[in-house]
Amino acid sequence: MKKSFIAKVMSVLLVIMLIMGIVCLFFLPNLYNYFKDSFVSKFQDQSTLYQVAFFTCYIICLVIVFKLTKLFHIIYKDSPFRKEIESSLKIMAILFMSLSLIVIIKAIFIPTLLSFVVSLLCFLIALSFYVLASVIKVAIEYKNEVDLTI
Amino acid sequence: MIIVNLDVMMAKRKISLNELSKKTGITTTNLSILKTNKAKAIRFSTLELICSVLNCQPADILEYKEGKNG
Repeated sequence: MKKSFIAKVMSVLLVIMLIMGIVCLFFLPNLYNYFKDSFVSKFQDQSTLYQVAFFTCYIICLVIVFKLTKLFHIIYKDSPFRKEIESSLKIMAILFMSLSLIVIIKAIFIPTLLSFVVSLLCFLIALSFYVLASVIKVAIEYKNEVDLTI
Repeated sequence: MIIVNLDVMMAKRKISLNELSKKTGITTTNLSILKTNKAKAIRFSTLELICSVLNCQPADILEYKEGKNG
């Protein structure tokens, strides 16, 4: 099978993102303190909630980047029609769904237009990943059938 | 379910898997899949090749047995 150049580029970019994300993880409290001054007063009233949402979302995003790195690595090395791809996509759908939930919970207490937009976006991405996982599942079944047709 | 009796016919004709592979042009991997009943389907062209080399009928290779498929 012809190796995908885009998959390789994406894999390298995601590895860089993952490393940067892990490095930033150690400076996360500092980053939070640095940026919190620019928050409006409403955020400072609910700073604990904002902090919890911020750190949880960061960890979830890091896991998503890790999963994407693995996914593109598999696509580059082998083929996209594998069980691992399907399960990775399902896990990412769940992660995006939880991101959407966290952001919407945060938006209930600290309502901003951007929060609602991000939440909706995450929800749509979660749905897209779930649909893609279902498509891959069917594709794997077809591929197995074709592979076992002699 | 459909049973592939390729191993029986091969034994009758005293032909090895490698020899059959060379004569038909079908890879040993695919013949092995057929022999172990793991195949989901078989093309007419494949069946024709096997029948011509083994000098037999499709019914000699394929057999229907009652039971669950897979």
